[in-house]
Amino acid sequence: MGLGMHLTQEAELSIEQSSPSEPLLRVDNLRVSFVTRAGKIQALNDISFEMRAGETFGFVGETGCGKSQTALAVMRLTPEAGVIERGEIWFAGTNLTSNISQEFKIIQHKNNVKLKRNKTALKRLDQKINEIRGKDMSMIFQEPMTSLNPVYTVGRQLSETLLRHSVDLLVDRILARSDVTKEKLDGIINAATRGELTQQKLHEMLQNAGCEGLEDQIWFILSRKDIGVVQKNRRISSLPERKVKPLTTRFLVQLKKANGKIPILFVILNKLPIVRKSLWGVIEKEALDVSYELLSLVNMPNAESVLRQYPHELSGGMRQRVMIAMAIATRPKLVIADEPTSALDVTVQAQILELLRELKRSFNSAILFISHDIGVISEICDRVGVMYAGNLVEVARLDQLFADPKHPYTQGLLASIPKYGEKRELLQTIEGAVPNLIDPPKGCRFRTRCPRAFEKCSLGPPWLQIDKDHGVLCWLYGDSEKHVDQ
Amino acid sequence: MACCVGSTETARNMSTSEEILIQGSGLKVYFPVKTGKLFARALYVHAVDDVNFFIKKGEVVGLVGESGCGKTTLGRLILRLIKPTNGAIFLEPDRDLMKRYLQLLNDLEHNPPRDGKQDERLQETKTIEKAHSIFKFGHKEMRKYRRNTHIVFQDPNSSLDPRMLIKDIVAEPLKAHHYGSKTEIYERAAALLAACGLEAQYINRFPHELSGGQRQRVAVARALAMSPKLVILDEPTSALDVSVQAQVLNLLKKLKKEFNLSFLFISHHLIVVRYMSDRIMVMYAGQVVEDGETEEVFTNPLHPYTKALLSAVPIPDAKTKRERIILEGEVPNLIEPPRGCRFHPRCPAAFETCGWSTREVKDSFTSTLLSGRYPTLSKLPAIENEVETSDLTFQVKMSGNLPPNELAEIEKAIETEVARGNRALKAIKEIKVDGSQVSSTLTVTLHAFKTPTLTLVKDHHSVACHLYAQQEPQIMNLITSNTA
Repeated sequence: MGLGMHLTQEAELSIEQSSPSEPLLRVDNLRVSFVTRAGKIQALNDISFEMRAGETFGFVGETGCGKSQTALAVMRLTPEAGVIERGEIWFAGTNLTSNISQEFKIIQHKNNVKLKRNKTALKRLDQKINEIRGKDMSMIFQEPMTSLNPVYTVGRQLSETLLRHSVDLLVDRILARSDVTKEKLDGIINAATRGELTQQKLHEMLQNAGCEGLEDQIWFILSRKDIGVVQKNRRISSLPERKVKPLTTRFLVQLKKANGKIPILFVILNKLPIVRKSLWGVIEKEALDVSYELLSLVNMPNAESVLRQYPHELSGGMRQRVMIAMAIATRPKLVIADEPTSALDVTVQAQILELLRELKRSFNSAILFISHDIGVISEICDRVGVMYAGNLVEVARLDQLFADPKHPYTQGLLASIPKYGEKRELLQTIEGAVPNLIDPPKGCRFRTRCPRAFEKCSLGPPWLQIDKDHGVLCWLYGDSEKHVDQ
Repeated sequence: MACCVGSTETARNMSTSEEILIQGSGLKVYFPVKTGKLFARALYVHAVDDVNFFIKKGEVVGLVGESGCGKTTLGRLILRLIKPTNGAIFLEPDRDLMKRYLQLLNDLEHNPPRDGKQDERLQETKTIEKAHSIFKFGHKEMRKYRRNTHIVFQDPNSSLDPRMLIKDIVAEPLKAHHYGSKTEIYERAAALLAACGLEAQYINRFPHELSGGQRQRVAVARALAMSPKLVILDEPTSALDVSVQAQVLNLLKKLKKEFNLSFLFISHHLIVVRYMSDRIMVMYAGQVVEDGETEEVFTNPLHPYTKALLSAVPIPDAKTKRERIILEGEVPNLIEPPRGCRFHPRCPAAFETCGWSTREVKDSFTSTLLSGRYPTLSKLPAIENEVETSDLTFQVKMSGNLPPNELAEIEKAIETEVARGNRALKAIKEIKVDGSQVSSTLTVTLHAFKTPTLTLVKDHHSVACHLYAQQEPQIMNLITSNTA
């Protein structure tokens, strides 16, 4: 689809830049702790994993195993009581954890643990990370009702993301429209009527004409299903008619030069309400147009009227579509989906999963997919990480995980789900309950429930790479150099 | 039955020899909607609309459907936590009496004989209901009934009193029903908790000290306190983790065998329902659309909704990748549910008589004319307005004369639209033109529609869909042949 075009190329570029040794996301020995009155909780214990560009990686595990905390740590959104104690997070060549030693201090006073956060360091972190968060990586939350703002319309919330992160894109679109003439578009219309126009060809044609900013707009019109050829052609040829005033054009050109900062000449002008309407208002209008295109892209019924509606007027599935549209608005390299379908019904869940798959195909974004439902994970993921009590216990390709689970917890987890179409007298269960993370078992955290536990398990288990894609944190399969300890 | 897993054949024989434990017929629950206007037309949410069901002794019936389809309302109705707008529920009904009652209902509603005795029939049904329906029970009878039914709720965190000890929580129903002396009551409570797999050390603790799985065990123990015949399990494992869910499911199976219980297992988690139940009922928008033995329904679903629902279940397996039916649109608004079959606006197999309304057809019709997809329709005069003239007809007024042959072109366009998948246009029966020089009117007539009712299609398998309706619907037929 139209919006996908740039991204596909960007993603390809980023693959070229970052050789296989440089993955999109690399998390090394990440340790996140929460300081509470009852003591220090080790929510994440030495998590390491990698994600390549364009792949779907899933995290599966029970409540409180740390899957959501991993995602939040990657976004640097760890809640206030928590800190990244050590470890590194590298995202697209940037170290997101370069300053963690300055961000906090844990004061241990006899039995009393206290956390002190360095506000200036955190402010600096926010400034740095705000350029990445929401632009290069974005997040879809579990409960769309609580993550959408109830007092703003859907259109306003969607365009807010665009206005914050993609002003240059919006400016490009407006300027491209005023540059192009009807004659230049005739060739495209002719090709479209003959049905010869592919996305690649459109890209080339517009590049030759020197107006790439039109690509998304034209491709969106062409991919619409609700109007016929005659109307499509009429809409394409009417694009150049939507011109802006000369002053606004000058403003936009300068804005583009200044990388989205309002040029000094216009700072005062932009504060006058009437002038602002014709300057900044044009961009806001364009953001709404893009929002409309985004909503249509996520198959929203009646996208145009939904723009003017408030979140409470939408159903659960529609709200989640808005969340997805918002997450892909800036064409991020990484989308983190934290239980995006858990609040939805099965049939709606199937719709949303289908949509995510479709978007992944056209956008080539990497997806970090978090779910407690291993069925959903198996629908969408390429590789899976299994988490237990703050440890990443196994990482494998999806087929490997089902065919040959190595860690006793993974084996127990898979056996405790009723098999589809197979009636068994009793289900296999994992005895006991998840340990308390304030005082977890020494060594392997699963050993108190593990049916195959032996003496060695009270030592920190080794991370064993069985083959290229398959790794496990367990003593059963031998020893290795890397140990995860308390 | 759940205990004989191997063959469905033995299961069928066993369950058919048993009697009906509870039976409901013609159940309707309409919740009034507050409009805030004094003289506005009263609006109702049709939460449960004409549902017939039965549960046999020792049977586990799964009730599945999307949120808001009326599963929980039906469960609460059985417990008489809410009163129905219409309908009756009978506990352990007398077989001959039920036969008579269903015959009467059948004669009253579905195929009334023309003998002028309808009033007498109505009187007789009312007498039967008054004597036996649980909704007409007095206080004493109701107390007795309450012993026989109990419920386990979804979230154990909110269904257990945080200020009561575990033993007191389980003893509560025993005290309420005057089970015996204090020692007897606490002995029974301890025994129940032990049977539910909760160790003795926990009985003097508070709910917050237990894990989610243990709390749900307490809720199950409480439900079994007065040894009820029917336990309603309303999403008992949805709030639990997978490994704990397996523990609770195993416990439920064990208890069912031990105490000879019947379950109504309400859940949206289809894999769990398939594992637990002998028979399942599929609900959609307040109506039961399919009812049959679990394996039969899962391997050979009949209703298009069931097919879509089953295909949407994510299967935890890397190899099985199935053909998936993705439904369009949303669950309908139950204040004004679609007429005819409630599933027709989303149904991939919908056809003429499924209940298309003039509004649905009118919108697709005019958008077809105006879409610009059909160049031959570009000579059409401008549309002035559209009016719905009756339930089955609407008129489209145009300013200007309709060129000759244009009607044929419109019909051709509609055919192409139908082939493209615009199902609403299938309902068009005929189009008439009334025209002069200055204006012309298209009168569009739709096919008459029928409302599908649950009809027995195979042994132990009934469905409410026109695709399978060869025989006349009969509620009696449905229930009696299932119990043989």
